[in-house]
Amino acid sequence: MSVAYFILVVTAISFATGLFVAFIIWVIKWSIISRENDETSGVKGFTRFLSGLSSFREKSEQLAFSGNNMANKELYQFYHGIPVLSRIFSGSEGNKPGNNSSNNELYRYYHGSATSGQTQEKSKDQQQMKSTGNNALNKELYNYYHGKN
Amino acid sequence: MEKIEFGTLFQGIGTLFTGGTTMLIARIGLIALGLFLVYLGKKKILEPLLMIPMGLGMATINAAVMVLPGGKHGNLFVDPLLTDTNELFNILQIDWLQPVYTFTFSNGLIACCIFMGIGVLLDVGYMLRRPFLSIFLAMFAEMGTFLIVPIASAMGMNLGDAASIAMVGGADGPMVLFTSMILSKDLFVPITIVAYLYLGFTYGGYPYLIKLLVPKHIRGIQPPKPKATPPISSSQKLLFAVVICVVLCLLFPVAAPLFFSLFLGVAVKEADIQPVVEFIKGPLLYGSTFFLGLLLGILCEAHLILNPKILPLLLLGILALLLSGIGGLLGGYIVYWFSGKKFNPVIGIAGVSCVPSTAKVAQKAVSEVNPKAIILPDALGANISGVITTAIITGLYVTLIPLFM
Repeated sequence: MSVAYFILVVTAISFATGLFVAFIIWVIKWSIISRENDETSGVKGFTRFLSGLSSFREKSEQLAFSGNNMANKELYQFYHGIPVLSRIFSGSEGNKPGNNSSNNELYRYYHGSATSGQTQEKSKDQQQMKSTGNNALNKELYNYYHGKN
Repeated sequence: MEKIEFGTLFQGIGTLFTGGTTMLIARIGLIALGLFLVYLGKKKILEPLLMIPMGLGMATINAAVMVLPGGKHGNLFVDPLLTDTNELFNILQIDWLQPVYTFTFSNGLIACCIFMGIGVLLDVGYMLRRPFLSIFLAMFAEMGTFLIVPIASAMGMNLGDAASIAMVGGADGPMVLFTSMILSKDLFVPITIVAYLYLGFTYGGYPYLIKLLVPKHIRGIQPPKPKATPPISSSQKLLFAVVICVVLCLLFPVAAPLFFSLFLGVAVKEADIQPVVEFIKGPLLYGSTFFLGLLLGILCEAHLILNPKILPLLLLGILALLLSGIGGLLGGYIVYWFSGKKFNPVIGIAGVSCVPSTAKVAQKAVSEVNPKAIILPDALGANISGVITTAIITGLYVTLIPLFM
């Protein structure tokens, strides 16, 4: 096989490989740009998801060690949110339509007319808070917000 | 008391006169060249980190020739030609640089360490801006790497030697070392020395090449700004490095040590592992470059330079760099024509992967004509792509040539 043919083959494969690499880079770039505003998908979403996982692990390590149910509940609410609660106490957002059933449930939970299950849950929570004087929870929350001394 | 001859007492001088006239001239010439390289390094005309150990090593190794047991001439530095394991084990206990040579140089470790350092210094974000353009220019700037193979073959070299000297066109020292160690075991020392000596050509010669091939009114063109894109985060650059590394290793496992080393450097930087970044770009990179220079100098013995293949290597090396520079500018001109004369063809020469020298040379050449024109981002993109395309061609040569030979 002649050297000229060899070098022709090498040049062709080099260009093809180079363009293939450029294509991969372009795909990565495209996924960055096209999903820039979509926080739940694409590379950005993935990296946020990963950073979210790491912060979840850190917060869990801080809060979930005591076996304190109230702390766990707080933790749950922290991560999954109480959209209804935040909306009630944050002015106009609280009256956002579409939340009526949740609002009602929450209202019943705090102010009565609750279902028997909700009443039981409420009294259990109150009992726990009473028995501990809520110190554990306060300590957990203090540590969470202000860091351990 | 037995009479001691002058030449026996001062063996460096004695061996000068017992080795023949040619050897005498070659040794004195190399001592002078070594000292001249030290001078050029001190004056910062050539890279001092490389030239000072290399020059001093070259001068010293040609001075410190002694008579070994058996009457053979040699030194106590290194024996690069040993292949027998038992002999090697004995020499490891005698020649002081033999451990460094055997365990870092001849297995390519030192090239990989330098590549890790290059990886840490690279910002792949420039390449991510315009990947097709960058790779396109870098491919054209490999013209010397492609064309020197048939030229060297026509001059009587075998394919392995031809490809090794052609790699000088990539202007990437570690890559030349890696390729020639695999494909040209007899000539890898002179080829690597030629490569490192000629890398200064990119600083000294390319500005003249640009002036010769690109008219002034074209040289000052400010290329259009690319569409605004969001800033590229370190996570995205890390993702890029990981994907490209794995893909290239899948394609060319033979060159995987180089790919891995380069992208490991990028990954460590983008993952912000600061202690490791500091270690790689400081002690590892500088230490490896220093020992590479030292070993290259030490390997410049007179009998090696007297090899008749050296002169063609010197010619082909400079021709490879010249052709690559011309190829880069040609690529730049193609983009210039297709962009409606809006692109600055000088950017093309930055595709020669001497990071970041050629990018800086391109920017300087443009700034001389139009101080407001900024081409450095595009030039750096082509420059970094040049490293990747040179690695691709290394992978191809190392994989294909043993099949063809």
